[in-house]
Amino acid sequence: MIDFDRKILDNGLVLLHQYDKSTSLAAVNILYKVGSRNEHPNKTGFAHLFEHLMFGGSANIPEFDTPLQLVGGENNAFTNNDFTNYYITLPVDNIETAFWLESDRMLKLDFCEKSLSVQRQVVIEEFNQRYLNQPYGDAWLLLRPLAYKEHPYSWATIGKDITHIKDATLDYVKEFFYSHYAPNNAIISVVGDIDFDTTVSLVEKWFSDIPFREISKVIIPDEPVQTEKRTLEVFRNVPSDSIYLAFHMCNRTHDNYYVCDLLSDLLSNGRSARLYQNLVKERQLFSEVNAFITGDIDAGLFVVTGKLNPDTTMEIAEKEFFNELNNLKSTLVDDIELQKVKNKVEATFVYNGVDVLNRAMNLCQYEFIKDADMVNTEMSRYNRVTSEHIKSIAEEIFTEENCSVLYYRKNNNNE
Amino acid sequence: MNRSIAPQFKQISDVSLPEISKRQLSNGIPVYFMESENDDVVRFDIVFKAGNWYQKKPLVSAMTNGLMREGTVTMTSKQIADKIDFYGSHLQPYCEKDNAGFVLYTLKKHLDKTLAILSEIVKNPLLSESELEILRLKSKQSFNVEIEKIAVASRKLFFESIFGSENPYGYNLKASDYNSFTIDDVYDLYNSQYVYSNCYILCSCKDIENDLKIIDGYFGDKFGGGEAYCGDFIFQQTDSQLIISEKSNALQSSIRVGCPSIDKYHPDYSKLKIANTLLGGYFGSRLMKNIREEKGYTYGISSSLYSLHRSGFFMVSTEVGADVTNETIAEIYKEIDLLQTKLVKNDELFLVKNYMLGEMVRYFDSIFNQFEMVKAVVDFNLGMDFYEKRIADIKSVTPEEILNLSQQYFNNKNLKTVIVGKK
Repeated sequence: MIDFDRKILDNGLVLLHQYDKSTSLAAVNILYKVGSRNEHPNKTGFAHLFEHLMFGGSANIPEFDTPLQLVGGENNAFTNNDFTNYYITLPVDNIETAFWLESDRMLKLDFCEKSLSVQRQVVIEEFNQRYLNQPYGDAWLLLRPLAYKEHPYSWATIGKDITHIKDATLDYVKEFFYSHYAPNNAIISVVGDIDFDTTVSLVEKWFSDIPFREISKVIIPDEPVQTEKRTLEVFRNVPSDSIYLAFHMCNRTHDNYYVCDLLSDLLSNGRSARLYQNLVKERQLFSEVNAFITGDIDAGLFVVTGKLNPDTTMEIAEKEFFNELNNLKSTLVDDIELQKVKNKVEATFVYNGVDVLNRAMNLCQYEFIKDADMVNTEMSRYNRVTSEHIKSIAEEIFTEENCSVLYYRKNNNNE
Repeated sequence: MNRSIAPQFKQISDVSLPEISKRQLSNGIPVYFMESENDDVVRFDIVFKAGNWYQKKPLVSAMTNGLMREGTVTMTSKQIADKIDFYGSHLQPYCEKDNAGFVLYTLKKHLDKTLAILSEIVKNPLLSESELEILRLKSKQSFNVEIEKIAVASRKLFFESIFGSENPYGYNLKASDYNSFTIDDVYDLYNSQYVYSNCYILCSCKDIENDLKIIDGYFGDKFGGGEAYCGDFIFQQTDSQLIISEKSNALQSSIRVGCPSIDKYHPDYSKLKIANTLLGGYFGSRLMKNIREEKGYTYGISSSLYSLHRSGFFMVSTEVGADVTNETIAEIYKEIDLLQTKLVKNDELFLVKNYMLGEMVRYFDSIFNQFEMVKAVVDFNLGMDFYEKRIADIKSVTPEEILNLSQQYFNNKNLKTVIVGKK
């Protein structure tokens, strides 16, 4: 049970707080409700580029990192399809420095050409390093537009075309800031040895004069129901063939989300899981297998993927994956196996709660999804899942017409 | 309110270090306990001198370590996996240059039952030939993927260049090595290294006496029989200062620059760590500021000072746009040179000192972080005074000392440069 408090400032900023007397380290996390799904289709990768620019100085503070390092702090950030998250850990005695820094860049960023041109280049190198110059690095860039035809999940956070980043202008940076970065579009959480009242007064001191801003409300299109199997085949300089199956599933707040999560655990969480035991260990068709859900806010994907052993053909790989999925439709999961995956979820909650920063991030993310109290109620939603639920969701989503398949083949003339 | 003025802050004067309680099992195995407020989770490590250093052929250490959980005298590989997963535990074998062993994360309520499994894995593994063939194939496939990554390839070439290829620290693994050993090599390594007299245990817990009894029940006997092999190798740097591996289609080059360096036992180690932090050990470092934040050549660049049991090394690492490979290398050398020729300004040193003290607070924050820190000294037969000295050194180090240490340990003449990608 995590005890936390909530306070909403007049300008709309939501504050979440957990008092932890056991540590001298504090975590301050800020989540902005903007991710790549909020981007214009011709300006993709912008939410992520913007995350980089947030470190280039703000209205009254020329540099973000240095003053924080000076007080013993550390920070970083990440962007995904749904939100952008900034986090700081520092000695609790110096926590006001975190509020000072975060509030100033929420108030107004220092829009500067130099920072934009350098960070454009840094992001291009990130694109090269993580996606292009990496075996299988572009698989997700290919799989997304195969599975999504209308919804902005069809592009990755890095963007669908690097020219969008190259062409980013300072005017658009400004427009993006004022339409997405606002107290009423943010959640801040604080975990550490600092009481709620002190936290509220410090947060009010630094954040309450930041004006409420109108948030750009671009309608995000629903993804139409997929009606036939989609396939894509590519050839790359990689050492072995790889296959990716993506099935559409529900959104994050739906009860079936928990069913899907457990389904993916049955298939591939831990060495006892089905895909590993049957296809890697017993039949040795794959060297590596994985099944996971994307966990997005809007309707997401259930992905099954594997690297093929040299003697395995794509046809066999796909057929054997479907065999495993079909088994989940035809036979009820027994109680022990279902209890096993629930135990794993429960243990993961406990392990994750050890760290102050994880707790701070979780509070913000659950509040963004629906309600921070989910940190305390999530497990009961997993516990309600039955073998019948598992079977019925497997029947619903593991169909050919709901499936997009990426055949990622190695070049025969491996140069 | 004037937003351009920073709030008051306190310099960190004190970092609270955990206490380690050293105990012994009936057979003499040392057990290092860290007391934890958190009673829900336990981390338990058992560490053997069974890493790459102790193998007579490439890969045998890693394969032995990985094969041990693939079945024991009483349990099949699948039964082991089923039980560990059912308890929500994580059991990770690991094999490094010096050590090999097992890391266990478990809920406290399942400690007894998971240790029962782990003790079987350690003391009575089946080491079956058919499981070895599965592991061999799987590992070879993943090696083939890993070696395609320029960062992996350059790291391997770097170790080969600074340690030489005639020893396990520097040997650059080839795909064909996966076919060069047999199950007999595995038996041999297991028998000589996985012996009670060749290991130690670390455990986080709340009730030492109780947990010691449980652990003694599983690991307190004189298990294992062979005589430990010590490994006898020499280090021999390669002759060339510059090693290039061209990749025709590379968008990026992976760069490593560095040299062998002092280990944790050396009195200069802590202060040299500070010089390294200035250069490339944090986000605000000179290398990051220059090569990422000023020039945009890379997504990230860092330098590190790392100690092994028999040596240490200093290494700058980055992946950069292929077209700026040479420019980046010139800038790396320029920054290393600056540390040796110009005294660091007080402002910058003050910043690094405060950052590093904050880092110490972070390193000792949660029980899992503490565990890593404690393991990093226990493994060298050092104690918490190692970190007391580090903290004192951070507070006292002077610009002159940084300059002298940089001249002594980052000397250009000793540095090797490795490029994988395009020159």
